[in-house]
Amino acid sequence: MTIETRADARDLELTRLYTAERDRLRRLAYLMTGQRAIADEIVHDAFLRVHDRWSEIDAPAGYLRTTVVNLCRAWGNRAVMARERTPRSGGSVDPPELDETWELLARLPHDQRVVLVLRYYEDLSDTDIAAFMGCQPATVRTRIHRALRKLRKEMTP
Amino acid sequence: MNLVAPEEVEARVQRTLMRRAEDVAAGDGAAWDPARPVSPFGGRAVRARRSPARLLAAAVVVAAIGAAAIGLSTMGGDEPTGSVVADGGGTTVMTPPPTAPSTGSTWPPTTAPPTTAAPELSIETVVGTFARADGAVIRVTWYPEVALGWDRRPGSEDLQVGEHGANYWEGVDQRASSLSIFFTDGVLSLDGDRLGMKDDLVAFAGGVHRTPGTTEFEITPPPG
Repeated sequence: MTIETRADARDLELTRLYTAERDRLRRLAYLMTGQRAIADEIVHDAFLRVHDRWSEIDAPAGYLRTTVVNLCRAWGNRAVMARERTPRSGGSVDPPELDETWELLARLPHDQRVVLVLRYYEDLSDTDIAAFMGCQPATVRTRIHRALRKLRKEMTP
Repeated sequence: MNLVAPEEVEARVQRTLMRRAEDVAAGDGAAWDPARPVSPFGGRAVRARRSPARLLAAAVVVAAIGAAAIGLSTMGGDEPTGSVVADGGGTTVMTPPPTAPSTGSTWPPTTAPPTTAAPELSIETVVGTFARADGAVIRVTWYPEVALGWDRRPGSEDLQVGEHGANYWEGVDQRASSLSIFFTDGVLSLDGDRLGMKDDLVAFAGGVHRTPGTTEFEITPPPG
């Protein structure tokens, strides 16, 4: 197989992967960052990384998801101050408790928000979340516990 | 005080996430284009975090933690540096980091470490140690690839501090300067995550404090 043919095959596979995974990853990134434009950039960046390292990656879909989670966390670590100062976007017609919960999620420390998204949106186990985040399952449980406890304190009954 | 039931908290979180995920409509947004410039959240940002300036800043933070550790170990007066304070099982004392430069007792540090410090801060440099009551010595190592600020190294009890941890300290040191140590399920972990849990801890300026009846420790810097 020529170099050119291999590149064509890679691009074809990558396009298929993009079509299959992109929206799911954008939703995941959006839930972790709260900002659609940022989520789009992060997902695009993750695909670029896969594109650049295609030959080294055994499971591109898993690599993509891990990359998106890590990029969201990296972004969150840097943006925590800015996020606190950003007014929430209006125009929502959700029930008040969902708006309130969304705001409270945005105020959580970013790693706590990430574990909640992975648990309650992605439905991952402690072990799986720990693998994503490079920590111990006990650390995941602690973060989830603290996040829920903080949300509970601030939620309107 | 009337609180929402725990199961309702979980249900609200799940409903909110499911509902908000619908905000991202299928198919909208940019099309796949590998030629598009890398976003600021990608490679350039990673390289920026590894710049000498950031490493130097991280060195200041790590050194400051070491300075806090020095303050802790000497605060007990009669307790020699590196000794173990008997306080029941799992008690931890801190010993001065063997490699981090001393920046005095101020917090946050106001002077930069010697310019020779930054180059020494390479992967797996031991920046601090914890001596546990059972005699185990827990090393804290600098590990830039750690995605989380502080964590336990898989397969050992050693701890890692990474760039994000340094960033985190840089970000919050204006209003909170404590580091918490937790024993969860028998596992020692450090947690620099204070913004959401400050009210859970008992403040104790300038030392290490074990909350009575718990396995939580809080370390605060010595008074400036």
